[in-house]
Amino acid sequence: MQQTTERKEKNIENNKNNQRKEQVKNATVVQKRQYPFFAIENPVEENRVSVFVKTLGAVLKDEKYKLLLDLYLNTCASCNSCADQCHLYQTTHEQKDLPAYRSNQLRSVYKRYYTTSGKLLGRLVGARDLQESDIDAMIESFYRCTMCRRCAVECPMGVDNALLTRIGRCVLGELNLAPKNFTISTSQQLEGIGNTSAIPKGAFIDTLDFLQDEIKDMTGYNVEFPRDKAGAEYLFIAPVSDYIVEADTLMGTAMALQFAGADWTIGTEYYDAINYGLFYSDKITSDILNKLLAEAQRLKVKKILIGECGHATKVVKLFMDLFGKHKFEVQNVMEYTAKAVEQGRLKINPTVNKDIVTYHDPCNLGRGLGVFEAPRTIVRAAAKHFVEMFPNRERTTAAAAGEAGLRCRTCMSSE
Amino acid sequence: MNIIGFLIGLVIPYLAVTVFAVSIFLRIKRWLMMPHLLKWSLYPMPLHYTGQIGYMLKEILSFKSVFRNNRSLWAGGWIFHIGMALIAFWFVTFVLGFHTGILLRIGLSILIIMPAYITLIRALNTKMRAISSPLEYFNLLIFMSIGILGILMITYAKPDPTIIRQYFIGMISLHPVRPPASPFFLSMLGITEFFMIYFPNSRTLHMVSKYFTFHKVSWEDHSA
Repeated sequence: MQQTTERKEKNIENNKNNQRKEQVKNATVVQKRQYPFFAIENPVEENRVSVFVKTLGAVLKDEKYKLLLDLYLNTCASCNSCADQCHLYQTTHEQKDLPAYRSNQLRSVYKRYYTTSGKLLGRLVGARDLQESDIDAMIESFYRCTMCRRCAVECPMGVDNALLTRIGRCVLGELNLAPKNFTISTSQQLEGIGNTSAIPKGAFIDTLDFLQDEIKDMTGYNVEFPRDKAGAEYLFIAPVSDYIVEADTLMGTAMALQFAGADWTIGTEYYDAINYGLFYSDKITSDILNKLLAEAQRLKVKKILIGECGHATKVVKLFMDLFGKHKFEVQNVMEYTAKAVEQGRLKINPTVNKDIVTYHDPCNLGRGLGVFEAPRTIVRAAAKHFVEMFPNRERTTAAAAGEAGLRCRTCMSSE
Repeated sequence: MNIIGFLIGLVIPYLAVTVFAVSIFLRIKRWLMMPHLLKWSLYPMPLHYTGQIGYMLKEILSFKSVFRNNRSLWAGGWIFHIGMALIAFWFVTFVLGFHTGILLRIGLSILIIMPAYITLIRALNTKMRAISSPLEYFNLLIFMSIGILGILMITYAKPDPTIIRQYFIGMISLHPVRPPASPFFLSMLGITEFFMIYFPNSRTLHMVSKYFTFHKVSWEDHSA
């Protein structure tokens, strides 16, 4: 009897040991999880499936998304018109790059967990249990999409797969599943030095001085980069990386604004228009946007003028009413400049540029904001030979400078 | 009249029409209440009603986006929808007292051939197969079944059109009369009733939802 009891206890002990070993093994597996597609900082490793499902549930209850998702997730006619418009799919011809397939990844989870038909009929109605591997597939798929919205232009049902991609990314973002490029940049903006390129205020001011000197050397004109001028009409704010890699653009902007007679200023407390929150998180979109608006409020300007950057303009124009603590009139610098050209306040000599010049419509400014003509007005005024390239305007292919480019650089370095 | 005939012929039609109408009404009401919180417009867009109606008509009547992007599917899809329109037209004229049998035959034949053709495209084309769930095939099967049963009924059962018309008029005027006893007719009616109940809860609702994706999202102009 005693022997039997001992054997039982031994068995229990053995079972416990085995369980422990299994747990350690699983933990090791979890710790060893690799994200082969791109680098991710501090990803959530446990209960990813349940966290994903719960987060999607929260999004479905969110006022700004719930009916929109109800509409989009119930509308696709599976005609694949989007596939022929997707430059990514046209390049790779991989199933995961079909826009409708990508959206179906999210749709299948929605159906399985949040619709009666999906709960009852499962795969028959396109619903399926979410697996760990599906989450990995979604990370890959949602970040291969450039969110250029070219597919939306041709969707006979009016479904915008890019919005579903964004919502998918936002859900993944709650699990910290976002590319390191985005998370490092936004944490620098929100918790670090205050901008995506980690340029300290002193260095920024030095850069402005340097650019002024550079313009003087190049053109002989004294062109100012006014700073912290309270009560100015415009707060000009560009992606801070432009000060490092696109200095020509900024010098051109300063000259255009000065010669057009603009009353403008740059803020030295916050000087970065980049908002990568747009690509993966509403919370981060809102926090960064409000830093920009707070700077405009501090300087008591009337309007905000965003540099040439499309996504930066889109965030402020489209999300200010939703998330902003302050409200301002917002313009892209190309809209301002084109108006100055049209009104004759800014005169450009086109004979200086003798080469043939064209213009590649960026997705966010074009399809996203309807800014098609302003850049053409400027280019036509500045160059003798302007030619359109095709496809253009709403059918332009993604310039891939933002969403995809960032991702691709990481992707290429890790693959 | 047996119990199945009684249910399919007299009870479920009212139930199906009620579920169909109420479900669509609730969906429309829900989408009409959709707040414009998220600005997610797509440019360029037709800014005036005339332009919007023109765009919609062109899209609905010609399936121009599918024509540009997926010509083989367009051929099947467009003719398929024409077939459905022919049957709807036949039904209205039939109830009004005209019997254009040829229209019905053409419509039903299209309802067999085109869903079969689209099924093949979905099954054989890799990129179409990747985005087609069993539901897509099921939807096509429903239409094919209606078409097949209809043709069988016309060809073999040859029911008296006057009896069928009296039945429909009785149902519409809320003075139901005994349905035609043809098993083909009852089967076809049963599938149609099932479809009416199922339709508002499926993606075939795109006929209605399409209005909202354009008018309430893509065409909300925020550029000013």
